[in-house]
Amino acid sequence: MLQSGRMRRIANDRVLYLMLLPFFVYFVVFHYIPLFGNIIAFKRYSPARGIFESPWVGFSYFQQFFTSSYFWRVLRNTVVISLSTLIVGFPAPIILALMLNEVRSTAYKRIIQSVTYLPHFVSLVVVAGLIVQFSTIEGLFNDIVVALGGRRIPLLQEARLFVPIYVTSEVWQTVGWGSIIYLSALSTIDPNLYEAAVIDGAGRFRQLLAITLPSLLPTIVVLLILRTGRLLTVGHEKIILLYNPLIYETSDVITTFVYRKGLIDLNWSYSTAVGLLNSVVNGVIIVSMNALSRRVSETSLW
Amino acid sequence: MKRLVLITFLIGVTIAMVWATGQSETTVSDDGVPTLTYYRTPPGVIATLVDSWEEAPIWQAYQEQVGIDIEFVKIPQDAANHLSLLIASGDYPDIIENFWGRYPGGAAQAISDEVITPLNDVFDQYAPNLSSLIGEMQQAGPGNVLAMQTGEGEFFGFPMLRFYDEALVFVGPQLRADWLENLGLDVPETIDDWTAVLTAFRDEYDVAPLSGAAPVLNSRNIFGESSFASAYEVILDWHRVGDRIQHGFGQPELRDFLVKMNEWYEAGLIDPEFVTNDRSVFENKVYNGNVGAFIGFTGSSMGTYLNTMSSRDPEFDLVGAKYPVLNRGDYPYYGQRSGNVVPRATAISTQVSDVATAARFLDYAYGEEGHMLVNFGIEGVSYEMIDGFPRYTDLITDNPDGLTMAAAMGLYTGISAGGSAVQDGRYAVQYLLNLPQQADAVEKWKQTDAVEHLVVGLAPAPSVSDDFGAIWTEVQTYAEENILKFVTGARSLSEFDDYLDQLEAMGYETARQYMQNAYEAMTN
Repeated sequence: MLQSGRMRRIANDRVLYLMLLPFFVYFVVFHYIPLFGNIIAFKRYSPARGIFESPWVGFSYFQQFFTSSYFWRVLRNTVVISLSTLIVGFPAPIILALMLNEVRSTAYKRIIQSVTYLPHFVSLVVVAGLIVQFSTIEGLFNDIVVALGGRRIPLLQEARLFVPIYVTSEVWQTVGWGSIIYLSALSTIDPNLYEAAVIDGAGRFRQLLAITLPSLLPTIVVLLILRTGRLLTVGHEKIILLYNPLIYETSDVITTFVYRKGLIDLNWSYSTAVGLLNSVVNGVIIVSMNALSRRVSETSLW
Repeated sequence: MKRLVLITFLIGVTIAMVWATGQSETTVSDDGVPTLTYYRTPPGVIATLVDSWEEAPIWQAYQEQVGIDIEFVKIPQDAANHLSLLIASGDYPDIIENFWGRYPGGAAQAISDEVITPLNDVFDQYAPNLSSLIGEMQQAGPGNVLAMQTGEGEFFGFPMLRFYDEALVFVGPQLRADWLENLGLDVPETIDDWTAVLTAFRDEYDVAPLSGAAPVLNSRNIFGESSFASAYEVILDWHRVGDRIQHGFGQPELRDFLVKMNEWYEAGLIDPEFVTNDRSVFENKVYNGNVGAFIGFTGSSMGTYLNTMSSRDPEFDLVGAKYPVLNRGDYPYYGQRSGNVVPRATAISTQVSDVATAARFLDYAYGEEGHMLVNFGIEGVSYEMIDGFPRYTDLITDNPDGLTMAAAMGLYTGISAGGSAVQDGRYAVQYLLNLPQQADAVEKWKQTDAVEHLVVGLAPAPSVSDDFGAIWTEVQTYAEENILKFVTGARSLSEFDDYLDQLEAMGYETARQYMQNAYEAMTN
C-alpha cells in the first residue's frame, strides 16, 4: 500500500523529478564516480597502465607523508591559516549584513553592496597579481607603511607577514558575497516583531540583540558547520600564487604540498593519498561538529 | 524496492552516457595518403599567431615534401599538465614531442609503461638518415649517443641535435655597458671586481643593481646557471667532478658562496626582491634603469632589451661578462652550456598503427632536403642561397607584417621552436648573434670548463626512481628555502653545518649514490 502510494506521488510530481534529474546526474558523474579513483592512493599509479593494472603498494604513500620532515609544518600552517581565516573571516559578513540592515538609504546600501561584491567576481589570478604588486617595495602597501612612519620592506618575503596578508585579502574577497545569505535571512524576519519591540521601548541595539541575532542564529550555525568541514582545506591556488621558498615556513600548507608532489613531481598516488586523508579528517570534523551543535543549539545539518 | 530499481537505473544510464562520450573515433585516411597525429607544443610566440601548427607554412611544406598528412593535437595554452592528462586518458597521439626525462621515472619508465616504443630496431630499419648520423656520432665518442638512450641502451626518441658552440651557449652574466663606461670601469672578471662594480653602480645610480626573476634557481635569477656560485666551484645542479657525481646543495664549499652573497645582500648590492620578481616585474626594472647586472639569455634577454630600449633610451647598452672567478687569470669553472643532445625528443607511441610511416616522417628532417627545410624554410621565400650561405630574407629578419624574428622563424622554419632535427650553426649565427653585443657575449660565455662537469641524460634507475623522488623533493624544498634564508640573513650562516646535517638526515647521500650508480651504469 505504502509503496504504491509513493509511486503515485512520484508519478504526480514527475515534472519535479525530471527537473531534479540533471543535478542527480551531475552528482553521480562528478562526485560519486570519481570516488573510485581514490584507489590509486594504495597503488603505484602509472597512467599508461591505468587504475586497475597499476601495482598495489598498500599504505606506503600514507607512511611517506607521515614520516616526511614537512608533515608537522604543513599541518601546523594549514590549521593556523584555516583557523585565522575562520575567526576573522566568518564573523565579517555577518557584521557587514547587520550594518547594511541598519542603513536606511537604499541607494547608499546598494552602492556598498555592489562594491563589496565586486572582488568576488575578479579572477583569483588577478587578485593575487594585485596583492603581489601592492606588496613590492615600491608598492601601495609600502607607501602606506611609509606614510605611517615605517620602513619599506618586500612584504611577501617576510614569513611573519604571510598569514595577516592572506587573511586580510581573503576577507576583502569574500565579505560582500558572504553577506548575501545573511541579508536574505534578515529579510525573512517578521516586521511585527520589531514593531512589538519598539512598543515595548526597545532601542536599536536592543532589537539587534533580542530579535535580529536570534533569528540569524540557525543560518549562522549551519554555515559554521559547513565551514568547519573544510578546516583542513586551504585554497591552494591563492597560496601558490603568493608564496615563495623564503616564506614556506609559514605559507606551505597541505594542499600546496600535495600540488607540488602530484602535479610537479607527477606523483599522483602520493597526492591522492594525502588528499584522501584530508577528506577523511574533514569528514570526521564535520560529523562531530554537527553532533555537538545538535546537542547544544538544536540546529544541525541532518 | 522500486526506488532502488529507479536509482540503479539512473546510475546505469549515467554511466552508459559517460562511457559512450569517452569512446573516441578513429581517423581514417581518405585519399590513401597516410595520416599521423602529432603532439607538439607550440611556443607562446607561435600560439598567439596561429590556432595550430597546421597553419604554419613550414608544416604545410613539410607534409607535402614527405607525402604524409599530419594532424596536430590541439593543445590549450598554459596547459602544463596537458600531456600528463592525455597519457592518463590512455589514448595517445602517434608521435609525441616531450622532455621524456620529466616523465615520472624517465624515458625508461615511459617504455616500460608501454606509452612509447623503443626505437633501436626502428632506427635500423626505417630511419636511414638518423642512423648514419648516429654512426658518425658514435665514432666521435659515446657521450652523445648515451644521452639519447635510456640506461638500458634503448633509443626512446628522435632527438634535437646541435653541434655549434653558437647554438650551445646562450646564457650568461650581463651588465649595463653604458653605466660601466660612465664610471670608467672595466667589465668585471673576478668576484672582487664584481663587488667593486656593483658598489659603484649602487652609489652612482641609487639602486640595488644585481637583480633577477623568480623562480630562484632558473636561468634568469642571480643563481642562474650557478654564475656566481661557480667561482667557488659550486654547481647548483647534478654534476660531475672527475668520476664523482654530486649536487651543489650538499657541497661544503656552498658556504663560502653564501657568505659572499649574504655580504652583497646586506650591502644593498642585490635587489631584495630577487626572490619574488616575476619576469615582467624584473623586465620593467631593467627598462626603468633599476638594474645594473643580471643573468640572462642572448636572444630573449640581451636581444629583446637592446631592441626595446633602442627607441626609448639610446644610451642603454649591455655587455656580456665572462663567468666570474675568484683569482684573476683563473679559467671559469662552469657556465651554461647545453649538450649536443637537447633533452627534448619525439617518441613514437605504442598506439601508432604504422611505425614505418611515423619513422619515415621524422627521419626526413635529418636528411639533406629536410635539414634545409626545418632550418631555413623554403628557398626563395624565407631564405636565399648567397655564395653558398643560406641567408634569411626580409620575411624573417624584417617582417613586413611586423612579426618579431622569433615569431617569423617559428612560422617559416621549424627549428627555432624545437623539433627533432639537427640545428644548423648558420641559423644560430643569424638569429642569436644578430647584434655585435650578442656575438661578443657568447664568445666570453663559451670560455668555461662546463664540459668537464656536465652529464647529459643522467637519471636514477627506474627501480629506485620512486625512492629517489621521495628523498629529492624534500631535499630540494629544504635546500632552496635555506639557501635563500642564508642569503637574506633570515638564517645565520653560523648554522651552515646544521644545514648540511639536516640535508644528510633527509637522505642526500642516498640520493647522490643513486645518481652515482646511474652514472656508472651509463659509462660502463
